[in-house]
Amino acid sequence: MTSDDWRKVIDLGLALANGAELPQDPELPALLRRMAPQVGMTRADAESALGSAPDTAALVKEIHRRTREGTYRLGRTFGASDLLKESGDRAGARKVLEDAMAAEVVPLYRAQLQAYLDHVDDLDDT
Amino acid sequence: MNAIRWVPAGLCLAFISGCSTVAHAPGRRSTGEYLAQAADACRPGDLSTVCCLKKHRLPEACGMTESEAATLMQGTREFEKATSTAANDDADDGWRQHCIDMYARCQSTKKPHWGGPCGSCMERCKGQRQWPFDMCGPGVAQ
Repeated sequence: MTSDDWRKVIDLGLALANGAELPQDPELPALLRRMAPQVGMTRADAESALGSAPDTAALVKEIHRRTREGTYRLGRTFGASDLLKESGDRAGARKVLEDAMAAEVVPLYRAQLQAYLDHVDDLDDT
Repeated sequence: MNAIRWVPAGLCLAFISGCSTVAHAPGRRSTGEYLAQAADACRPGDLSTVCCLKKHRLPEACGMTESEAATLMQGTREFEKATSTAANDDADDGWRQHCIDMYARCQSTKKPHWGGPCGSCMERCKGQRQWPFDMCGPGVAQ
């Protein structure tokens, strides 16, 4: 995984959302082949989408959607779990983390939710 | 001791009046410009530490050192200033608060530890309107 890949594909997703078309970039198929597994898609999904321009655009949009929705989900979940934990409700904090985990398909985001779950029973935040 | 340090932040959010005796400690109101300018009302999604600082302006009452509070609120203020121009205004303000919240977490969360260059991640969040958890987040290598 490289952060540059994430940045590039999100920029492409934003461009599509603003009505632009995908650039004719010979690096694009390789980028999407690398990124698909990063958001929980199979390489076969990516490969089949690369056969046509509309399908490739749809693939970019789907990768962008998964990164975006997961990002906001993480933000809400970390906030909610911290508030519950601070109020002494560690079971509640665990529940919101587990609910987010059940919905999350992006491996990186799942690992980051797990990092919070691993600390949910800690008695302090330092 | 550490658990005790963080209790006031949670109590401030749940029971604001419960922190008033600490926040009104004599002689501790003028801890610096950064806190004087941080008098915004708490907003949904604010970190409890940010909310506590906005309300009470006393880092110790919110479980932080003055240095930590200065960093947190300066970053928040600079970001709000940078994103408040007409060119950047749009109907969805949610991304701004999202970026601010994640920046604050990036700066302050220790369990689990957040790695990554928080300032650079803030810049990317402003551009892409989503926090780059691939660069900055729990478990990300420094």
